[in-house]
Amino acid sequence: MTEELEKELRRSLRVDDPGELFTRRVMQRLPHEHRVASRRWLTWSAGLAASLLLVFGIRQQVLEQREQAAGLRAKQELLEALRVTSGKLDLAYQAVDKENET
Amino acid sequence: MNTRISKLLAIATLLAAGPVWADPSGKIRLPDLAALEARASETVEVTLDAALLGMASRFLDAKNPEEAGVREIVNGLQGVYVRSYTFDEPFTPQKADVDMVRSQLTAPGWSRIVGARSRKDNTNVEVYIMLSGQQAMGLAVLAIEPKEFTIVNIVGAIDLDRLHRLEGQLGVPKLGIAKQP
Repeated sequence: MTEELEKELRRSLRVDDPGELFTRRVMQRLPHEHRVASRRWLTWSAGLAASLLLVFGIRQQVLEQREQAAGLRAKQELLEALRVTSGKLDLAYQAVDKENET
Repeated sequence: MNTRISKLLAIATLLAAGPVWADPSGKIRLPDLAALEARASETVEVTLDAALLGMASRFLDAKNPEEAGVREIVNGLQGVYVRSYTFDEPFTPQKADVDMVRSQLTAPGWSRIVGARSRKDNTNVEVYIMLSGQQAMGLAVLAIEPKEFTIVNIVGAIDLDRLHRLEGQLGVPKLGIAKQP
């Protein structure tokens, strides 16, 4: 009885060769999974990089637009300031001129 | 005892205030004219420091003769400050505000090149210049008219030759400014 059990156990626990086909399929499957994961990671990275570039580009554009608006405003203020200054210098000139005439 | 403390306080206040010295950069301290702004029908308030002047200069068109002339003048400037208020009714500015500006312009370094007062037109225009050697380092204009009050302060190396060349443009009058030797 014990011998029979022992034989049965040995038969059940023996190492069976799964066969060449099975081994090949397993080996093919492993690199494929790995490739899919790599591709997915690359897609995410590219997407992230593209998003970052887009955000950076928009930020640069906004900064440039702001700088341009500030520059144009400063230019207008400068021209206005020079107009006021020249107007007052003109007033001084006219006053001096009048004084010289009298 | 109280009298002694009062005297000490008065002396301390005088010492703290100190004498009125001109800023060697040619910049004057402008009074707070917020009250005028509220009453004025038109206001021009320009505060352009060196950084803003540089920014403005980049947007001046070199092909436009008027703007090219302005660009040449702006190159040596450190600041342009204008406060100009126009009123619908005749207006007299606060004496304290006028005195504050004048006291700075009577300090050593500043020279009054024009002082024109017309009783008939009730107008008073004063033009001051700060010279450092042969170089004008500051220009200040104080104009009091019946319905207008203006303070102008231009800081920096004002090239009188370039200013002379700008005469006739932007309404700049021919002041007869001669080229400095």
